[in-house]
Parts: sequence; C-alpha cells; structure tokens
Amino acid sequence: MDRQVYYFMNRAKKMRQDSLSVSLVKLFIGLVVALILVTTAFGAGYSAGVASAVARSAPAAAVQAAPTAAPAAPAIAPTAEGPTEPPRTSSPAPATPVAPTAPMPSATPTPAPRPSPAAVAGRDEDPVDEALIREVWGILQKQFYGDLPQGKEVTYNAIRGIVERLGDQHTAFVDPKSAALFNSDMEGSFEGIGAQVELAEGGGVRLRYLFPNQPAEKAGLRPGDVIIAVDGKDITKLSLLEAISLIRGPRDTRVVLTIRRGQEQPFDVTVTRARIEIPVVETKTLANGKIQYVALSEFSSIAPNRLADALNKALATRPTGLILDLRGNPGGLLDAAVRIGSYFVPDGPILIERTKDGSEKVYNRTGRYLLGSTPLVVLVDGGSASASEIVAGAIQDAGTGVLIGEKTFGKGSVQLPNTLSDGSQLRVTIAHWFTPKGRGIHGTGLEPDVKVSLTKEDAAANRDPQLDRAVQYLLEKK
Amino acid sequence: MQIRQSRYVIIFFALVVLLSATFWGGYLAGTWRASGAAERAADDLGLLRQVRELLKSRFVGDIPDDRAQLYGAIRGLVGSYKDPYTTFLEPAPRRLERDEIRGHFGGIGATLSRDASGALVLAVMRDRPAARAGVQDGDILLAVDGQPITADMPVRDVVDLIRGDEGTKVRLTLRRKGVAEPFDIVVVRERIEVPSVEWRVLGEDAIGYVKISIFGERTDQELQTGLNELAAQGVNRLVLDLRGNGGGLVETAVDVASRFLADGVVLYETRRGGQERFYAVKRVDSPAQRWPLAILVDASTASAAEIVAGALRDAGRGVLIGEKTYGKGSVQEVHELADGSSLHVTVARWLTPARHQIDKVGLTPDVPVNISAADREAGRDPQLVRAQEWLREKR
Repeated sequence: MDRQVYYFMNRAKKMRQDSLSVSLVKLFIGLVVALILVTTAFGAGYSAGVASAVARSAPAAAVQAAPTAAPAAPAIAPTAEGPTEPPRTSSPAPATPVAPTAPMPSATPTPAPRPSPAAVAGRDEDPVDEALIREVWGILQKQFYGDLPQGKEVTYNAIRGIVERLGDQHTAFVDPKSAALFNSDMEGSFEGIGAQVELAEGGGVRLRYLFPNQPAEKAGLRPGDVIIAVDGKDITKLSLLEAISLIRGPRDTRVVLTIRRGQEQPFDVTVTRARIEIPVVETKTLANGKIQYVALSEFSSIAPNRLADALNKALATRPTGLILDLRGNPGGLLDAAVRIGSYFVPDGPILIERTKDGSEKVYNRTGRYLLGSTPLVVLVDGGSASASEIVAGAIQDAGTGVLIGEKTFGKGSVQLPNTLSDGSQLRVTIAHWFTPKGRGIHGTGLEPDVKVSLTKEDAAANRDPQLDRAVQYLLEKK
Repeated sequence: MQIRQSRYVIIFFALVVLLSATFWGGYLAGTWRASGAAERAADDLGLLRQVRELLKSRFVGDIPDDRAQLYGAIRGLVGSYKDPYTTFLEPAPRRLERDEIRGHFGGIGATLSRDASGALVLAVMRDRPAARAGVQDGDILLAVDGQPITADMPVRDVVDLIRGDEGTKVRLTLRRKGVAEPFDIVVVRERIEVPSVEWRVLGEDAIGYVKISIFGERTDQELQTGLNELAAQGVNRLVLDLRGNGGGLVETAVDVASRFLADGVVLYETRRGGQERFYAVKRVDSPAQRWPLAILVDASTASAAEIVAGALRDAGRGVLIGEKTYGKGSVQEVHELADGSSLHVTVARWLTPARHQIDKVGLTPDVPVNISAADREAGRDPQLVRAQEWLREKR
C-alpha cells in the first residue's frame, strides 16, 4: 500500500512540468479509484468469509450437539448424602454436612452416555425451540436497561430453568466453579466447619446440627442460624451444594460467615476450618443390662466395621433384646448399607434398584449375619433417610426386627454426576430404590410398626418416649 | 511510449495483486469473526442440548414435554437479568393480559370462582351468551370442550380455555344441583367488554368522580365520553381515582394526562446509552383542562398511573390524596413471540416532568389519608371524603 502511493507520487513529480493541473487531477482520480477498489475488495472478501464460515459452522454445530458428556465421575455413590459427604451423588436429603469425614464413594461407575446418532438428529427436531431462546436472548441483550448478566450465567440459568421443571430436588445443575470444588473434595480433603446444614426458606443455609467441639460450635454458632453470605458473597440465590462448596475449604483456613439469627441484624462470624471426625457408633446398656443399644449416625466407609465390633460385643452379653437407633441418620454409602443390612437379614437381597428403562439391579448380601435370634427394634424418624431406609426396609421385610418411631424421610434415589463440556456438572436422578419385597422408598418413606412420636417438649425435658417404648417392647414382647 | 505502456502493465499487475491480497485479508477477517460468533452461540445452546439429552436418556422420573422445558429454559434465562419487571409470559397468561389491555375479548359472560371444595362455580351475567344458552348461577364446571377441569388447575388457565374468538363455540360440561347426570351446554362466544373507566356525579357540589382501573387501549375513548357526560351535567371539578390502578400502556397514560393538561411534558424517558426523550402533552379537546383535580392514590397505584399522577401534580393541576404510591419507575417493552408467548423487557426509566425519579420511592401524597380495616368493613372511604372537602374549599 505504502509503496503504491509512493510510486504515484514519483510519477506526479515527473509530470509536473508537462501539465501540473492535469497530472494532479489524474493522481487524485487514481488514488480515489485505488481506494474504492481496495475497500470493495476487502468488503467482498469479508462477506465471502462470513458466508463460508456460516456454511461450515452448520455441520460443526451438529457435532457439538451430541452430548459430549463427560465420563461421569466414577462416583455413583448411590447412597445418600448424609452427614457423611455432602456433595456426593445422592444429594442432600434432610441435611448435608458442611464438614464430613470422608468416605470415597465406592459403587460402580456408570458409563457416561455416548454421543449417538439419535442425539445429533434430536437437535434438528427442535430448531424452533432454539429459535425462540435465541430471539428472547437477543432482545434482552439489545434492549434491557440495567446491568447485563456476565459470563455464562444466562446459559446456566436457562439450564436451571429446565432442571427445575423436573420437580426433583435431587437433580441439580452445578456450575464449573462449584463442580471443581466438589471434585477436589472427592479426592479426599473433607474439611469444614463441622455442621449439618439444610437449605433455608428464602435462601441461605440453615445450621441443623453442630458437631460438639468443632469450629462452628466453638465460634458461637447455634442450630437454627442461617448463613446468608460467605466471605462477603451472597449465597441466598445459590443451591445448597453451591453454598456448601463455598463454606468448606482446607483446614486451618478462615471463612467469614454472615449469619441471620431470628430478628437480629445479620452479623459476621469468623470460623477457622478443621478436619471433622464424627463418632459413627455409640453404644449403651439399658434395663439393667438386659437390653443392648447401638446407634449409628451415618453410613460412612468405616461404619460397617465399627458397627460389627459394637454388635459382636453387645450380642456376646446375650441380651434380651437389641435396639438399633437409626434416628437422624441421613444415609451415606450404598455399599455400607448393603453390608450393614446383611448383619440383620439372614438371606435374600437387601435392596433392588430400578432405572428409567425398567432394568433392575439386585443388591445381595455382602456381610455375615450377626443378629442370630436376638429380638431387634429399629428406631427411625423423619431424619432417617436413604441408606437408613434401605437397612430398616430390609429388616422390616425380613421380619427380623420391628420399626418403632416415626415415618422415615423417603429418599430412595440415585444420582449420577455428569460432567458437561465446559466443566459444569449435572447430577441426574437415574434410579429409585425398592425394598426386597418391592416396596418403594422414594417419596413415601417407611411406616413404623409401632408409631411413637417425640415432641419438642420431650426433647426439651430430655425424655425419649421412642427409646422407652423400644425397651418396653423388648421386655414385654409387645 | 513503450516504457510508459510497460509501466501501466506493472501498475495494473501491482493493483491486481494488491486487490486480491486485500480481498483475502477481508475474507479471513470475515471468517474469523463469523465463526467466533457461531461457535459461541453453538457452545451456549450446545450445553443446553447436552443437558436435555442427558435428562432424556437417564432421568428416572417423567420428563416434561419439550414445550415445558423450553419455557423453563426461557424463564431461567430471563431470570438472569434480575429484574422483577423483565418477565416471560407463556401463551395462556399472555392472552389474558392482552384481553385486559384491549378491554374486550371473546367470551361467554360469566365469572368463575373456586368454592371451598375446590369445585369451579359459574356465575352468569344477565343477557350474555352463557345466560342465554341456559347456564345458571351455581352450575359447576366439569370440562371445557371435553377437557376435564382438575382441582389443581389455576382458574386463569380455565378462563383461557373458555375464551376464544368471537363467534366460535365452546362446549361446557356442567353439574347442577338437582340434576342427576352432568350435561353439556354449547355457548357461542361473543364480544365481552370490560370498561376501564367509570364515572358519576358526587352530590350537589358539581363535583365529578372518575375512576380509571387500567390504562388500556380503549381507556382514553371511555374517559372522553365520561368527561363530556360529566360536563353536560354541570361538573366543574373532579376526583380522579387512580387507587388500585397498576398501570398499562404508556401511550394511554400520555393520552389521559393530556385530557387534563393544556401543554408541557407528561414524562421523560431514559434508555440504555443515556438517550433521553420526552412525551409531550397532546392537544386534545377536553372539558376538564381547567377543572380543579383531587387525585386519589394508594400503595397499588403503579407505573402508568404514577406517570399520570406525577405529571398532573408537577404541572400544578391537582393534589394527590391518599397513600404513598407503589414506585415503579421503569418502562417495559412487550414483545409478542412466534408461539404466542411474550417477553416484557425493561427498556427505560422514566422521570416526572420535574425530573423526579420515583422508582422504589413512589409519590408521596400532598394530603396523606389512610383507610383502616374498620373503614373498609363499614364501607367508609375517608380518602374520597377528604378529596371532596378539598375540592369544595377550592370553590
């Protein structure tokens, strides 16, 4: 370009003597023509480029349409959430712990769906849908008065909008940042503030239970407190899993929690995270040694061995009866549930899992039968969920024990985490559980054989009518 | 001459080379730009597709149909803008909203309500299609055109089923006390009008009363009729009741304000990028341009109603009596989408002629008067009473 202009100028100089005005005019015309030509050429090239790119991108998009979906994290952990591990597959039933001990999910990995021709075709079936989404998005980006959403927030919210329509609280979308945190958790560092939490109405995370002598309790937090911000970031619009991912973190690091407590002005509390150990099994002797009592607080990887030890000791005393307390136990690992179920069920399967296409997977006994002929009462309540319901249901079906207390939670579904192309995660409920006799657990829960409730007044007065009834049942055989 | 010619040849080739180089430069730039955009869009919607495929193939429960998923996605998308007035309306609620703004619809002339048992009970209007076809007050609606009415169906969805184009038929399945079996009645839909303006003369002080319940397409027409009728009855001062008026069309607000203003500005509007425009008072023939005005407002006086109240007060045309208004200072544009749904987008803020920003603030009345629960029960209206007093003093 530069050279060309220079050339014209040289010529112009030489011609000056002949006829200055004519050559100037010629030069001018030459420049204008050259400019027009160059501009036109660039423009033509540009449009041709756009056209060819669009033509090429069509098939490219089709390829993208296929679910590239992620080899699912090999963590199907069809068990529960439990205080054991929050972000795991089966999502928070009654409560999710901020600081779980840390069993790795050990169940079978389910292969991720492969891109199939059907998936590619599926895209062409609903171009109208995408046109409407594009239209709405286009209008908003062009006209909306106010701050425009940043990054992929719009896409993520659209996905959340679809997931919400399923009406299943356990199927959830997790954005890449939160998903990354969960994955690091799965690699073994389960450290946090030491509390069981649940989603509060209107957003935020309510503390359900504080583990004694752990950071949250030591910092002066109380059950019922609602965390509304973490390190200054508002969490009231986040899902439970996303919120927990912010609260948790490596031990000895600090986190500033903004707490709403009743009508008080929200205030900040700084908590130093720690590694949280939860005692899994608690035992005691009742009725002058005639009754042995064993409580299990979660189905973690160490639970089967700890419980087996406790049972062996308890049963060695040849008690009149045994009480297994699963109240408030929100579940844990499926494998642990199957093994523990085997202790109390002499034969047959422990549970049946059914997927969308109707296929069944039967989980057979994997442990030794320990109970023998000792009469058994299982204590359950609305906080007994997931793995607890599997064990209680199997015992009820086998008739080796009776359930006393209140109706159980009713969480009997399996979630599979799928990592999506951009690192976000979709946790999909892929199966439901049924007791050996085919009774559904999900949504319904288990009805106790003997219904006994525990009122707030009872709890305040330290009374336990459910336990009293269990002792009476075992002593009087009714 | 030879030399000159060969020079031209060189120039020509140089030009050709230059132009083709430029063309390819442009080509590459265009390709890069377009494929970038295409990739971004494909990527964003690709993620959505991935999710839908996964749910379709794995989710153990029932999958909502494509339409429900689509609407869910759009709702989620629209929610990203975090504005309560930027909303997506599915076709059924959109039709009801449109009927309301239009002030008329094809219907049967009956009202629906749920009784304690959850049944939908009809009440018919005299001389309207439903009554003429034999529907009676207290009939219970079981199905519309064969589609059964379920207990969890929102009433407005049922209303949407019953409404339709004027002249078309709708088959109602009804149950009636004293009749053993449910039976069908076919009703031909007619144009049903819903007035947005009502007026009357208050007492003997030549005070008129006009209540506007919504700023719809026919509101200005109705208002003109009302004002002329009141003028003919000797009215020379007016209570303008905007209580419970949630707004409507901005254009209608300008028309309505223009009935009471001779000139000036009704509102200013600021769009994205900061451009400002104003809506000028329209020159219209109206008997009310000099009438003293007492404007009744309350906490649900919003949007277009606040535009009118603000414009009249800033112009010194009247006082606001009642309670603080709602405080909605934004303007939405309504886009009709291809499938009959609609998108409301907040596109601007508006200011009163004196440039008061009222969003989340509202208009504070000049004469605050509350209505207590006891007033309501006794059928008293102290706000209206105070407005009449103020207008009488004005004489």
